Amino acid sequence: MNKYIRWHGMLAFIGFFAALIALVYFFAAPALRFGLTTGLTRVNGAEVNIERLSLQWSPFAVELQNIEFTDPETPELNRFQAQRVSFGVEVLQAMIGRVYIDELSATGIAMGVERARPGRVRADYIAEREAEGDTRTWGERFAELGFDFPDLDELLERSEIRTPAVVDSSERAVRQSRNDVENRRDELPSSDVIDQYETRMRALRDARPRTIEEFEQLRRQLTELRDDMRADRDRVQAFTQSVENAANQIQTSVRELRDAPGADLDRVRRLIELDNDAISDIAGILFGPQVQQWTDYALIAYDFVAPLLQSEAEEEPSRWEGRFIEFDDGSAPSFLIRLANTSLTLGEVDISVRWDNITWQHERIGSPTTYVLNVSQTPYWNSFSADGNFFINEAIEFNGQQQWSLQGAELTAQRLLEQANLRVDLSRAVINSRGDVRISEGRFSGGAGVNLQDVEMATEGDRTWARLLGSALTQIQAFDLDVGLAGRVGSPRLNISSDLDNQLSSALSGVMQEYASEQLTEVRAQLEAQVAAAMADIQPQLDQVQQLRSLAQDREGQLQSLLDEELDNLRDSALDQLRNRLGDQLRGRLGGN
Amino acid sequence: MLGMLARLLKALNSEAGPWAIAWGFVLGMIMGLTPLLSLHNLIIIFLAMSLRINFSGFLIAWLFFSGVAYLFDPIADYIGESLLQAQALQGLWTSLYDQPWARLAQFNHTITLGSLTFALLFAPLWLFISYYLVVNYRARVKAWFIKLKIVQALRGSKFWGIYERLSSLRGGSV
Repeated sequence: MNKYIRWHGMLAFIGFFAALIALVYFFAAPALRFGLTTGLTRVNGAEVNIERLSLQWSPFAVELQNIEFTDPETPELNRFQAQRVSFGVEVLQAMIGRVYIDELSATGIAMGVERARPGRVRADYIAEREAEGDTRTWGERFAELGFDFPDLDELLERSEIRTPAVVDSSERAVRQSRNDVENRRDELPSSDVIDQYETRMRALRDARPRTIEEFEQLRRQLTELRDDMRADRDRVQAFTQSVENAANQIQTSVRELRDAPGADLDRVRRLIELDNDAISDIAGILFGPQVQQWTDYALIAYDFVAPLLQSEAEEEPSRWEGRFIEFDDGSAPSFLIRLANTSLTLGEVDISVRWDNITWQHERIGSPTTYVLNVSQTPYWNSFSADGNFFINEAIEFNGQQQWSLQGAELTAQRLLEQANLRVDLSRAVINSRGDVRISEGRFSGGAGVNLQDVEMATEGDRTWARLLGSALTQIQAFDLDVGLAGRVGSPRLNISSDLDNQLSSALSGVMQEYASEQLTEVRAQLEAQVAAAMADIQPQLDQVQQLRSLAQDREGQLQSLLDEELDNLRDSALDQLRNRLGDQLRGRLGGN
Repeated sequence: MLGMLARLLKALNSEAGPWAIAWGFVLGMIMGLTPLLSLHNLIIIFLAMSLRINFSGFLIAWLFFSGVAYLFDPIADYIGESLLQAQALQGLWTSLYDQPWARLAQFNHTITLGSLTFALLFAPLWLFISYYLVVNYRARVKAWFIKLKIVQALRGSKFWGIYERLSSLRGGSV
């Protein structure tokens, strides 16, 4: 045997491996703790801490104590923490990359708890978040609404008050019209001229033409009189037209003048009013962060599954470095927790969740992952139940559903919005909610209905608009929130709509009308005083023009009457007289018949 | 390195069995051609340390074939890929895939399987070639080699000092 065996070499080999095993035995726990911390930090996107890790070698089991997952969005908080997590693992399977856990137990789970010190957020998580870029926070969306109510001077400056300009232009127009009329007043025949026409007409009426010559002379005088009267009538008509135009112009100016203050005040009101489209976002802005947080907690399981799915799909073969060829017959999953019991304590409420078949290879085990919440009796709500399941097929398509029902839960005081100039707090509310979220091919659909009753909200803010918004919010007693869920697993998007928007719009409208009325009383008085002063100047001029118009119409009527009736009658009368006289003379010469 | 080469020269020039040296070359060749961090290399090291083969020959062969392996990897990859994709062997591979020890041996890695297969097939041939080389070296080349001017020059070098020291320690002769 000694001829072939080098005993000291064999002993050296065995000794080396014995030392290696001893090293593993003594340092496996810290090494595993380091590996778990690093791996979970990568999946979580922010620092994960494990205070203590204990190993049991046969059967192989791991116990973790005080695990904390930093919330990458709010590093001061833990998105998840647990006091104790224990599970047994099949070692041989684990060595070839198959993690089989028969029973996992997690106790003392809490979410959203403040950390002793802020956790570090991974640079790649921050880069990824920055690359998404266009995702606006609720706070940014509030800023974009442009809630602002300017003071009176600012309002008047922005609204371009037009009344003074209208006063000026009206006064100018009235003055111009009146001057035009005055300048043409000389064209109006005086009463003396009318009297002369009547005198001339009377003379003609009394004339008894005896001969053809006298009649011809009378006819010429008549024609002259008619031409003179027609010329004067035309001048009177022209004057009348100009007076009419002036009167219309002045009346238009007076109308504009009277309407100007109202138009200005309407313009100022429009500046104060909020855009209804902007108000349609207010429910999301106020309750978005809170609902986002609830949703994050509700979907936390999916946050952890999503990166695992990605890592499954990210295997790239590399030529010349060789590659591992899979001979997976699809009968065994690479990760499976057959049963997990997790317990969470919120205040005096114990919430336990039972999970069955946690894996992402459900086709291999032929059943989905299911989970059911059990909640102890509590004074905080009347009833609460939730359950769900999900199934991931070999094409990494995620399908599942989750439903819940919460009745009569009392919300404690919490801050809804904190901006530089505004704080909105929800003092109290009673909440009822039913939700049904479905996941099909990795995309969320469905959502939740949330009904809030006995709502008390309070606002703080020095600016005028903050006080107005506060007044409007305090009028809200109850409202519904419809929360729609969309987007991919791991990055869900929320869509919040609510009748709060309509209620708030109506309340704000009333509040702002009141504000506008208070602010604009003085403005209205100023503008109306300007208009009244202008009207005091314009009215006599208008009266004067209207008198002239009456006078012109009177003159025109007189002339037209003389022209229409007297002249024709006069000519016919003279002609008849001449005809009779000539007839008499002719009968005398012919013998008395 | 110089010490190792000196040990090899000493072995070649001593009365050590040519089979012991040849087996050292074979085990070194297998370990050199295949990826270092593999389960089968643990067995190779165990054999190299436990059996009375020439350990210097093993180390020299390992270093030599590790260099050769960089050129050999594409061929090993091709062999491994062909074996792992062969329809006739799919049942074998699938059943091995569920065996933890086989997965730890990285049987499904193309270069590991290809290089190991090649090395095992080449081992008998390399064993006899090594044996032939050692025997013929001792019979024909050793005297000629010692008389070479370059070897004469080496006699005054550090390398020769090491060689001499080893020879005196083990009582060997040139």
